[in-house]
Amino acid sequence: MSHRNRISPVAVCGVQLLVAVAFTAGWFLLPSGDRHRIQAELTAARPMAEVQISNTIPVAPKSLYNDPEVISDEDLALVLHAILPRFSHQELKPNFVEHALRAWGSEIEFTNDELISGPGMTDYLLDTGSYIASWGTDSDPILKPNDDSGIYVRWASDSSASVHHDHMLASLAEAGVTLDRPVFTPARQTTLREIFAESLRDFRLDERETEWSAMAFASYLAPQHTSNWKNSQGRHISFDRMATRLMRSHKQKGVCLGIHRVYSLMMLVRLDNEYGDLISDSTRDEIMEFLADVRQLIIDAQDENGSWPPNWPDGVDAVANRDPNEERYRRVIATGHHLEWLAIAPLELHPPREDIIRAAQWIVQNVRDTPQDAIESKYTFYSHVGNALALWRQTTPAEFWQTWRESHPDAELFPEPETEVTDE
Amino acid sequence: MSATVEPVTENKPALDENTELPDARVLEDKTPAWARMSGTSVFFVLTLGLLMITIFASRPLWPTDLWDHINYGNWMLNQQAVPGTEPLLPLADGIPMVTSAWLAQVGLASLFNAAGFAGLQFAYGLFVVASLGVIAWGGVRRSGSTLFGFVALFAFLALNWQQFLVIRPQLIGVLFFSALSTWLLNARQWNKSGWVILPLAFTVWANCHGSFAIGLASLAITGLAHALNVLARTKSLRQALSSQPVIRLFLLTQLCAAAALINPNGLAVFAEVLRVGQHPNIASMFEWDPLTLRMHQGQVAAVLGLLLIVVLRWSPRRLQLEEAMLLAFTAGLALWSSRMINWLAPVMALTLAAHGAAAWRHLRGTTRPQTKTETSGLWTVVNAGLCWVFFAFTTLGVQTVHGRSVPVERAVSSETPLSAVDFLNSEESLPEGLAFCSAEWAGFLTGFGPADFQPMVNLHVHVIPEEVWTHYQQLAAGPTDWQGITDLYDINLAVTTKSRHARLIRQIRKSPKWEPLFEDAQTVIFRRREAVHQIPSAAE
Repeated sequence: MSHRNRISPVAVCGVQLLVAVAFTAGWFLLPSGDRHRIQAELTAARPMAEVQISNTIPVAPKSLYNDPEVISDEDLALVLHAILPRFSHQELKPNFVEHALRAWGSEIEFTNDELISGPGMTDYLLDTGSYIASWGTDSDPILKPNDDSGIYVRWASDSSASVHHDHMLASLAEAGVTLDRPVFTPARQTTLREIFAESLRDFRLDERETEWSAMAFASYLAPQHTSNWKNSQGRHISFDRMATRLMRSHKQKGVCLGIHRVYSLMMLVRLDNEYGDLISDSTRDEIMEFLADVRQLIIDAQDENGSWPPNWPDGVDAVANRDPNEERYRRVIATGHHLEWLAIAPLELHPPREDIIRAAQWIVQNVRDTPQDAIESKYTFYSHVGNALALWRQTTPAEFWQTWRESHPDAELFPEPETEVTDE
Repeated sequence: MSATVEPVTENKPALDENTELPDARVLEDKTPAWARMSGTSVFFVLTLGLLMITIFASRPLWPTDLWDHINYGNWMLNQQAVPGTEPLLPLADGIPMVTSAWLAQVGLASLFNAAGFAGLQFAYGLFVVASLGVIAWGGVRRSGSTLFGFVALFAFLALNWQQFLVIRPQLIGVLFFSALSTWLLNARQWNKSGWVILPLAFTVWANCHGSFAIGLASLAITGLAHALNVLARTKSLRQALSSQPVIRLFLLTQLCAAAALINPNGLAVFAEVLRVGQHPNIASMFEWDPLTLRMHQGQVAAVLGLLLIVVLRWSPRRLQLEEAMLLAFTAGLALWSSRMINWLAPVMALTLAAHGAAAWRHLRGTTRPQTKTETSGLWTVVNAGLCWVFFAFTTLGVQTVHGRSVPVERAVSSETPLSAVDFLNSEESLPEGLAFCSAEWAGFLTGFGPADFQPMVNLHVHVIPEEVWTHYQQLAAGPTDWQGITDLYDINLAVTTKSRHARLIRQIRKSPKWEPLFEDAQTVIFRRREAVHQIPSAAE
């Protein structure tokens, strides 16, 4: 071969240097999230979401109204008594605990030993030992630590799991549990932050239920003014996009007759009002327009007795389209959930005040008329009722109950079940 | 008339005794050596030209992802930027997008904006025949035979026919790969300009299509083959690694890989190339299915594969390791996904030509001609003239020369939703929300339909959320819960295809909540009577 064509070692080294510099520069010019994602793909790992979690204290929108005409002290006490967390400790349903925690908060202590306290409920959800004590050693724990960081909350339709994606996290947030709260799993002791991080990691904008994810994320991220990040697949997630996702779909779609979506949207607006930078002005306008539609629909759909029907999205056609086999508890769901979001909504989104009063009166009468065991079997729905009515008195169930208990020391007693008298 | 013959001078032609006409045979060919062509090249130009005008350049454009590419290209032209996230589909909002074909997309959009359908048809034909031409040339070089140059051409055409039917940026990749594989299997002498030309080519390639990665792999495999050859011969690893061709190929692979970094997405384009094929949505695309004998192209591949085995049996020419390794690599890719037959076809064609010619000569007892083929500028001129004639017969030629544009009905395939577009454009407004339509139609409807037409999906399935793509496929099949899916996505308009959505159309027709707006032999367009978020009004 001609020596002129011979490649010198210097040239080889020069090319190595050039290529090394080019690829190194290429690597560092990539956005950090892309670098993490590529690293994760190469190691068959799942990258974390690109968001720094600096705030640990969750926030929630406060009620705007204290209206005794909507609900009196006595009626509120009646309803709250019905939703005192009196659960069997054997095979305790996480779904019930989450709803109870959401209503009663993580701090409340009860005088009646039959009632599970706020700390007890929190322990049950965040301490695998407590969970196993209830479900047995053969059970599949609700907290699933990953090999890397992150703890996945098992959610499924069976009673031993959390029923909705991120419902546990949202409930803990609404109960005021901070991210530095210890969490105990068989693999390791960690904090709630790891559960939150995992939730951010595995969140997908198009999954079936995003209501509680939106609530949980907003609760913890609003105070630190984080409004957008990338999930583990590199998709840009923002509260704007989450709001769009919540507004997408027919209003009847979604858990609890589609009303959780409504609550989540209202919560985003309220938290944006308080902390700013959560959603854009155009998204806010879209949300308000959406909620104004909801307002009109519930005005049109409200029953004469004051309740809202399960098919409330049918508006004026709700009566005509009524399911003749409608189960009564579904009306409780609709009425309770609507009262709940209305309690944190501005007046412009309210139906006429008398409609709200009638709805509250109907729900209170329903609680009076429904046997306690029936209420306990539908605990999750009635918990929303209790929370909603407390909000209409600008308080929380725990706050009200602790005050009420001072003047009513027997408040936490339950009547003995009636025994059948037989003639011998 | 002078009785003497004037002596031949440098600049004056000799005058014949009996006429005054100059003798063209003594004309000096001033065409540069590199531009001179052989007489046999005319046959190739004729063949390619006929293929161009009878098949490719007049072929109706199919509603594939061509229109999606053009839509993305137009977006980039309007925004003067390359998108970082999917910019056209509401349901893909925020999805990261690595536009490995951005240059091809911008090119297609610019071409369409400048020259319309005829421009696209011409470019399509040009890329196909250019690829065929490169392989034909490579086949002649490898085999030393014009006949087997044609074998290479037609083998390539037959094997890659299915892929050639679709106009998409991939064709640019095919052209580049054809040139690269021709060089890899033909190169005898190294030209220093290769140190610049190859990396430059890869820079352009990496900005046009993700198949540049196949090219890089082929460079590396050929280098490895050379190294193994030397190792087998010398039993010395040191000699294998210090062999100049090995070093050259190794360095070229590196330089070309570095050159590919020069693109708007940088290193991310490498990751994207690996990622796309593994996207869950891709599994539902039949064109990404493994190559099987059930496919026409699978059958052709099997026949040519068997033919190659027979040819190799009779060929005295040794199958070189680089041929074998490239064949194995590209065949493996094709077995993994039938779309990869694009890369198998050129390699197989070149190998078939080389060994076919050797086997043929062996059977006939002849040897490879040793004389160099004569080239002349005359043939270059003839070929150029032929090219012009063929160009004039293309739709672009007719448009350019005579000002007559090809009617849109002839420019696009019969499957293109022309009537649907006409109808939608005639409507004052469309229902709010998304529109369901087949992914194959989404690009055309978006590009030619009303500005507020928002399809549920398009054919860029790798940037569509899995859940959305799954629901789209379910909806297209017309399930019992079709209404639920339309409710889920705020779909208030359905542009259905009779040939694809028969069951869905039956379902929608039965629903009192939907009404047909338009129908012809190809499509039915439905609208939801009350849009998803419309407040029901009291009956009068």
